[in-house]
Formats: sequence, structure tokens, C-alpha cells
Amino acid sequence: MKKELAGFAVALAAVVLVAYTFAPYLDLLNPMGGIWSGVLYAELPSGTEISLEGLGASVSVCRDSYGVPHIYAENEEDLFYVFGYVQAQDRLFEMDFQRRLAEGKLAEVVGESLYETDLFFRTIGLGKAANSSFQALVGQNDQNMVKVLAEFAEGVNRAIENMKATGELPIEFKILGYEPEPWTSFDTLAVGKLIGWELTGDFYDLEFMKAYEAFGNLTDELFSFKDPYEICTYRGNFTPVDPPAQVDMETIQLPNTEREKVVHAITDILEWKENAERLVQPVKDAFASNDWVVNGSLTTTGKPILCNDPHLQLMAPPVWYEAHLVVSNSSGVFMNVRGVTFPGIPVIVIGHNQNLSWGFTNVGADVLDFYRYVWSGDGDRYWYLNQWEDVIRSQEVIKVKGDAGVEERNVLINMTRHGPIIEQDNEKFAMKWVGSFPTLEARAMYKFNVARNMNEFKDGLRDFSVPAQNMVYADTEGNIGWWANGRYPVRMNVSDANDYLEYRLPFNGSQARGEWGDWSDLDAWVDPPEEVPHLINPVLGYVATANNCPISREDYQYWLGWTWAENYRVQRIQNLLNESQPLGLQEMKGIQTDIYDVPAEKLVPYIIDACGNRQMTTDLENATRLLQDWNFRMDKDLVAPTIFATWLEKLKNNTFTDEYYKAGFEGRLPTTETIQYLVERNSTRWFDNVETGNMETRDDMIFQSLNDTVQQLKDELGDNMLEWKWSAVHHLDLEHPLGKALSWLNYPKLPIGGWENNINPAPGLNVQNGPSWRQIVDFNNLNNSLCIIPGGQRGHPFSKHYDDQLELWLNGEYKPMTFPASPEEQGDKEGVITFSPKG
Amino acid sequence: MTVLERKFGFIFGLIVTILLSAVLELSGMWWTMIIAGFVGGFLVKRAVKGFAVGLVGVLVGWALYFLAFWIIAPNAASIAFSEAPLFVGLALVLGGTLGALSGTAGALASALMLSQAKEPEKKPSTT
Repeated sequence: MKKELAGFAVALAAVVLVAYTFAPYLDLLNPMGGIWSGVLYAELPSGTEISLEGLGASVSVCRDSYGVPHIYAENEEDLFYVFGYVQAQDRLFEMDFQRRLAEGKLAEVVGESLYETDLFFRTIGLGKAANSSFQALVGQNDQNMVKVLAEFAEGVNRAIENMKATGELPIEFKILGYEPEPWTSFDTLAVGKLIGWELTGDFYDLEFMKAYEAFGNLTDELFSFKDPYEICTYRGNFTPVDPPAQVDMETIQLPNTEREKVVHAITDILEWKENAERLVQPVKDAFASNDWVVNGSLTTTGKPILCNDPHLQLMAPPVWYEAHLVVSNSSGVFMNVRGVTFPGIPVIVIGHNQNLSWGFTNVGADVLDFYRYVWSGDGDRYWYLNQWEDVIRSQEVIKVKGDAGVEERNVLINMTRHGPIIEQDNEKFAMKWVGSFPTLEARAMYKFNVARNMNEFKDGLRDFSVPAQNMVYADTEGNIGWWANGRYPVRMNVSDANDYLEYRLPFNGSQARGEWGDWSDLDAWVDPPEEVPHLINPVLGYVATANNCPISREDYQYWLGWTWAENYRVQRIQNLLNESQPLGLQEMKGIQTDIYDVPAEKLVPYIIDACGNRQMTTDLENATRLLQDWNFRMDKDLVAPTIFATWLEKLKNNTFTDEYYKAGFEGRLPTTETIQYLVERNSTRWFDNVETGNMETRDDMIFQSLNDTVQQLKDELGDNMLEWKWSAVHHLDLEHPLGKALSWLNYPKLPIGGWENNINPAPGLNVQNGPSWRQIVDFNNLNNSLCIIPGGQRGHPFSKHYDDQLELWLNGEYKPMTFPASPEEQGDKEGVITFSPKG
Repeated sequence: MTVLERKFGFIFGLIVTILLSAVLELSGMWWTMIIAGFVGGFLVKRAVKGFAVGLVGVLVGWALYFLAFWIIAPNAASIAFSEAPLFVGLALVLGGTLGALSGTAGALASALMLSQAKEPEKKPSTT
């Protein structure tokens, strides 16, 4: 009996051991309780009816063949209620993830790895900013917007309740082992603030300070303030100003005793930010988008066409959620708008209604400043004008998931009068950002959604403060327009000397330099839409923007910024718009998906020249021949793009790394435009390798870089040059937020053409940002409009709509942006769900 | 043990385990597979058979779910299973392992009870 007892005990212990050890996997993988039952609700049911409490009348949701919901309601309350429900059906996990990111609550469900991310977002205070915006809506007694937000939240919460009841929560919740909390209006505004931060929350002042401390007067040669190739959207005198004075720049640099310490601290701050923001980093790296609008005089139909492709993070599922929202009853049509929004936002962000259309590109305006102070010995007070002021401290709790449950950590957020303190290595900078103010973008976009004409659209522009956007516009009356729209602070007590140098560095906070005025003081801000650069029905017949300079510094009295995108895209768009007239949908598709590389066109002749009289190996001869015969298209099946892209990176590194090393500078390399300028100017200063005794020339560097390129590609891709196709090294790599751990949630890795300065950009070798939405709105017939997203509509990884648009997008194809006014008019109906009032 | 028991005990135990694992899995709680395996093992009484009954029973019980998913939602199932085939395999291996060990425990529990029942007969009566 002892033998049997011992055997039983051992077997029982083995059961307990296996159960305990593999519990997380068994939770995840058992057929009904784990992820697999997700198969049963991967697709939404069709022809069903869902009863909802609080609904006023029936609402029809027709899904088209790509799963895009067309929502038909009789009143706005019902529409936003059901829109909340529908968004949650498709994207609840993304919504929850985004709000947690914005509010600094990810570590609670993911764990220690995201604690610093939470700390970062708590420090910059997106949650507080969202709260201030909500209080502004309440304070202004804007019951309509408060209601829109509340109805949307109510719809999300009904969906959460139903999903919990039926066990149909998105599988990511099962993977992470938590359930979503109820959605609130505050969450929607927090997601909005996050988007504002992603597009404007740059620490360029600190980056520039670091470079300036390393290179002094030469910094502008690397990070040019005066762009020699500058193409501004507005051409002419808006509110012209005199050129700024020049003073001795060296006096503005830090004393040597402080320099090393401050630069070191900045390096650590930038590193902290980069790590903390890694979930949104591809957005930050992209900083690009295109939009253009053409009036009827240039089109085949005599009607305007509006195109837009915002370049954002490309991920699985996409950052955008597509929808068509209709409110109509016996009294008429009150809303009929189609386009995309961010999961968690109840209104269409980019799209068109029955009267007008709009598109966005990021202005890239300077709406974030840093301030340095003289600090008291204990670090609790800072000097401001003529007195000490106390640091304002607030305590927050960050929850962190661990093996032993959720731990609560108290953190102190420190603020000065200017904003939150960003601190590393005992070096403190206070940060001031437009998005911290009670901005009202949700209301602005609601107004765009229901606008009937340009005046009503402009009313919406007044509410749109951050992120400043190049908004292009067209309407059924044939008008077109553009506004570099946002609310820009007018800095006080600041010098414009030396090309606005003081604006580009952290301000001296103790001396109240670069102060901003109160939010309510209209004189303290450049207010849209009248004061911002804009064009209405331009003589040229079109407006095109690609994050380029909105207006020349000399033509505008206010400071907007200086870190504009390179001009290659806007130049190419303008050329194609001029060459391709009359313009139709086909031409617009061609422009939007163009992968012609302007930098290659400019630089390849210099490679050919530099190699002309030199002794070359067969490989080098073959490489130059390929470049010479190239049509400058970054086609994935060609070899020349691989050679050129590798060469350009080599040239930048070979040119600048020695000076960076000598100056002790670690930071981003100069732009392609900068290297083009140096090549064209034949600058010896930077091409010379300071680590050798010889004087290297431009052509030496070009040739050496080609040599290095061929060697590297041989090492990586083999001796056969025909196999060095762009597709061999350049891939679309779209990850799910949990894709690092569970790669099957990611989209398949696919070869892709294009590169960073193309109209259709695909930057880097593992492409994770680019055109996140393409729309071509045809005012001849709105039903002919076209669109596409890089992935699919539904966030469920087992759904056919998870990635059913990916291949179309990759191949430069589009789907119809249908605009049926009623469910009966819907042609490609995949299914209908009717939402009806309960009881 | 009768001939009938010897011949059909294993199959009976297996069927019970499959049915139990399939029914209990409806709750979505994987640990109920311990019960399924244990009962199956208990019925077959021998450790090796208990191991086999638990392993195959839970594995088949869970495989039936995957089959059902395939039949009910073929498109979604094909996406799911093709995206993560290793995870399907892992699920079956883990379920089977849990069933096998529980089956072994069940069989040994059964043997223990049998030996407890037999022991008094061996002892000489003191009265």
C-alpha cells in the first residue's frame, strides 16, 4: 500500500507542478477560455438585432465588404452612442491601450517594462491636459460636445458589458489577463492629447542645444536654419518683418564649466524620452504627410479633387478607424460624413461630408519650449525675475503589475510656473507645451463633420489648436483653400538675433525670457484662421503641402518654427501637378504612390563624376553602371535603390562621424538636403576626415562611400550583384503592440518599394511608418472617391478584415470610398446590424 | 478484474475522459481537465493506462474543439491556425500532459483504494 500511496503522491505533485508552471500558457491556450474561442467571434454577426438601453430610435449599421461601418441614425445622440459601440466591437483593445498610454497606466497591465513610459507620460501631464479641456467644455456650457462625448462613452461601455457577458472581449485582454474599465469622456480627450503630443511633442530645443554646445557657429551648417532649397506653401508678403540682427553667437553658449554636465544631462533626457516613447516612436520618426487640393480649372471634370496621405505609425491594426456617419430623419440630413478617426475619438478626423472635404499634414510648428533656471541649493526653489519661487509638487500613484500582484508606487511630479520639470543628472528643464492648455480639437472636428460651407469650416478651425496642421479644403461650390492651422504662442521678451537663435534653444526661465501669455489673452497667441498663413482659391489653382515651410520667415511676423521637412516631396508633388494636367483620379493615384527619388536624381551624377578617373574594380564598375542606367525609382525589384540608399548612409557617416567624434557629439545625422547642399557646394570642411593627416575631398568621400557600400552589400547579400534587389533589404514590418512577444499578431513582413523622401515614403529598412491613410476625394461625384488603409478595419487578428486592405495598399491600389446616403443605397453590403431601443 | 473490464475498461475510460474534458472545457477553465483525466484514470486503475487515457482523452477532447471551430468558422479558424500553428500544438501538448498526469494520479488513487480495500482481508482477525 505504501508503494501505491507514494505513486499517487508523486503523480499528484506532478499535476500540481505542471498546472502551476504552465498556468499562464494554459490560460491562454485552452480552447474555450483562451484565445482560440476568438475564432467564434472573429467576424461580426449579420442580420442580427442588438437592443440597447437609452437608445432613442433604431440605428442601422451596414458593413461594407471591407467591414467599414456605415451608421444611419435619426438623431446625433443615437449616432454617437452606436458609434461608440461599433468602435469598441472592432478596436476595443487599441482604444484601451491608447488611453492607458496617454494616462500613464500601462504598467498596471503590462508590468515593469512600461513603468518608465508611464512615468514619462505622467510627467508631461497628458491626463491633466485632457481634464483641462473637458473642464473648458463644461465651463463654456457646451452641452452639445459634452453630450457627444458622453453618448460615445456610453456606447463603448455597453459594448464592454456585452463582450464581458458573452466572453467576447478582444483576445489581447485574455493575453494580458485583465478586463477593460469603463470608458469616459476624459479618455477620449486623453487619446486626443496623445495624438497632439505624438505630432508636436519634440525636444528639438534640447537637441539643438546639445549640437550648439558641440559645434557653436558651425551648427547651422549641419542643422540648417536657412534652407537653401526652401519651398514655402505661402508665397508673398503675409505680414513681413525686417531680417533679424546678428550678434556674437559665442556669448550665448554655456560656460565651459557647465557645458559637459548640461550636455550629459540632455543626452540622458533624450534617451529617457526615446525609451519611454518607444511605443509611439515610429510616429515621431515619420514626421511627414502629403496633402494637396486642386480646383476645377486643372481637373478633367471641372470639379476640385482633394488628396491626403498622412504619414504616421504603421502598425497592426492600423492607427486609423474608418467610418461613415449619417444622421437623417424626416426633417432632412443633419450629418453625412465619411473618413477616418482614431480609435477612441467619436468624430471623423480626416474625410469629407456631402458639402466639403479636408485633409491634414503636420505643420511641425514649434509649440514646445524649455526653460532653465537658477536653483536654490536644496533644489526646492528656482529664481524667477527677482525672487525665489517654490516648486509645485503633486503626488501620483503608478500601479505596476508584478509576480506578486499589482504594486502601487508614489511618484512626485514637479512643476514650475512654466510647466513640468524634466530632470536627469540633477539638471532641470521646465517644459511648456500648447497641448497642456484647454484646447478643443474634438469640437473643431465635430464642426468639420457638420459644416455646410467654408465659413462653417472656418468656425471649426478656430477651435483647432494642437497639433497644428496644414489643412487643405475643397467644397462642392468649387472653392479650395489651405490653412497652417493651429494656435501658436507669441513669445515675449525674446530676441530674434542670429536667425532666431534664442527661440531654438531653451529659454532663460529665471530672466522670464520667451514667456507665453495667458490662454484667454487673444493677443498672446497667433489665432486661427485669420492670423495663420492661409490661401483661399489661389491663382495657381492648387495648394500642396508636405510638412514643408508654410511661409518664409521674412514674410511673416510670428515665429512658427524652423524644423520643416525636407523639400523633396513637395517639390516632386508640385512638378507632377504641373506636368500631369488635366488632372483626374488616375493622375492623383499616380502622384500619391510615386516612388521617384529626387535625392538620387540630384546626387547620382556626382557619384558617376567622382568615379570617372579612378581605378575601379569590376564590382564598382557594375555598381556605377547600374546607377547610371537607373530611372531613380525606388522600385523593390531594382538593384540600384539598394546601392544608392546604402551609399547615402555611408556618405553621411563618412562625412560627419569624424567631426561628431572630435566634438564629443552624439546625435542625429544631418538631413539628405544638407549633404546635397555640401556636395553641390563642394564643401571641404566637412568632407575632410579630421582623423587623417590628409585633406580628403568631396569626391574622395563619394568614392570611398561607394567602395564601402559594395563591400557591405557583398558581405550581407553575397557576390552576385543581381541579388541585391531593394526587396532583399527593404521590408514593411508592421507590428502589433504585443507583437514583440507574440509575433503571429503582426502583419506579414513584406518587401516594399519607396524610400524616405519619396512622395510615397517607406523610410528605414524595416518600414514602420508611412502613408497611414490615402484618400482621393472627387467632387465630380463623391461616390467615386478612393481610399485605403495599410491593414484592415477590424482589430481581431482572426478576422478577414484584420489585414484585407494590406496588399491593395502595398500595390498602390485603392478601394471605393462609397458614400451611400441610406442603407438601401449601399451596394457592397456585407451585413447589417440593427440597434434598437430596449424595452 | 473481469475479461470485459480488461477488454473495454480502457476504451470506456477513454470515452469518459474525452466526454468529460469536452464538457468541462465549456466552462473555459483549463484546470477542470485535471478532473477529466483523474476520472478517466480512476476507471482504468493501472498507472500506464491512466497516463494513456488522460493524455489521449484530453488531447482528443480539446482537438474536438479545434475541429468544431474549424467547422463553425472556417475562415477565422484557418487564419488563426495558420498564423499560430505552434500554439495549437502547444495547447494540445499542454492539455495532454495535464490529462496524462491527472490520469496517472487517478489510476494510482484507484489502485490505492483497491489495496486499502484488500488489506483488511490479509490481516488475521484478533477477535
